Amino acid sequence: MIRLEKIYKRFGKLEVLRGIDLNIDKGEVVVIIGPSGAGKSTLLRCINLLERPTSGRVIFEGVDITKMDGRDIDKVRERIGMVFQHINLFNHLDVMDNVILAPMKVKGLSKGEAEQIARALLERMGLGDKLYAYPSQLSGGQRQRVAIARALAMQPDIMLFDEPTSALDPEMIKEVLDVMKALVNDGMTMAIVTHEMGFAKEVASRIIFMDDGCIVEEGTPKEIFSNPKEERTAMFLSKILY
Amino acid sequence: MTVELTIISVGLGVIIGIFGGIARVSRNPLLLIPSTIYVEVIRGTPLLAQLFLVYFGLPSLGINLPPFTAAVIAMGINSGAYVTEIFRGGIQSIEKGQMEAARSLGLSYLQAMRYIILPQAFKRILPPLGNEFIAMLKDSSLASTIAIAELMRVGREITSRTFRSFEVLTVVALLYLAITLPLSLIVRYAERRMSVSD
Repeated sequence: MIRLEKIYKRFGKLEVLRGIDLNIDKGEVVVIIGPSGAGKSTLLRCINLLERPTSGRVIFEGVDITKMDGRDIDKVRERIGMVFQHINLFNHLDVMDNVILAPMKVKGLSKGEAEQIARALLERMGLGDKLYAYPSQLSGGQRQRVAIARALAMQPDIMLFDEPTSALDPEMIKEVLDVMKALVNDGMTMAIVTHEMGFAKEVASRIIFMDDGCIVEEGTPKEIFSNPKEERTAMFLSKILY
Repeated sequence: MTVELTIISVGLGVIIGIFGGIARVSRNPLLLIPSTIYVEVIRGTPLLAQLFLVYFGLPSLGINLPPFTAAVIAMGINSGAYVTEIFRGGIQSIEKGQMEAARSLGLSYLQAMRYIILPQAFKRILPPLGNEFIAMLKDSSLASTIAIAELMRVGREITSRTFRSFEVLTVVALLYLAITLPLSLIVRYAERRMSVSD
């Protein structure tokens, strides 16, 4: 579904990504792990071109999207949902309006149609009683679940999660991970950057270990966690697993 | 007349300011450079000079404007520069994540501006916008110099008939205050109304 070819990304003198090749197939759950500053988030943001790669190609369903102009990229972004570490709900809109805005303005759905989709999604997220609350009235976990619903309302083909639980209080992490697990069970294609290793082990069809702008190693959770081939992977895991 | 002149001028200023503000945060030099020049030139020259230029200067180019139109144009363009800077600040104060989230959903840059960034920015800039309105209301007294019968002008006409300058000018000042005070209250009320989502 998505193929990254030789992605380089430079911010000024800093080379954040140094030749990433990555393939994500339909139905796969790819979890990207690695130390801070490894380039994990930047890599994810290159997939929907929130970050423009300095060089290399991003191929979505056989089409090189790095060559596209603005309007076509918007079209591609409709089909790639994204959930952010800092959640980024639209603060001036209530929960319902957060979710229905893009289906209405981008896809041209009527308010009624959009609300029907939104209500179903939000109820599934356990937010049926918060439809008209403002983001400031919700807990972090609730906000992140709204953000997931907002992305899903566009009925994307793939979902990108950029450290979705890193900014949450510990007791709210599980409710977000549970929602993500339900998505995995539905067969959603997902790329997830996370530090939740237990979760990664459970849901990943493939784990990517990144360090210093490169993919160091990839494999099944079993291969990576029980039997890492690379020393850097082993070192990273020994530091974070206890 | 004073109120009418101010409302139309600031209205024009806000329209200029929205587009100016967007241009000032643009990365496109065709928008960024002209808008920057506009702001710097207008802010760096006195309103009185701009007013005279439009009213007394343009006729030498063959453009004759009635006093009221000239005043609205000069004050609107002047106000537009300040409102542009107010909008720029407001837009830049909105976290980057808001734009990114909007773009990630497939909204275009302009849609994201319109539905996500500007409404939130507008809420934040309401206090400085209120300031600008009050400042413009007082500056509209300058229009008396080009034969518009606004408050100041009327005051001076009465003075020249009665020679009671202290009393008349005090009343004129109080009348300005009588307009600006309710205005402050309206702005404060609007701020409270718009803070429901905070």
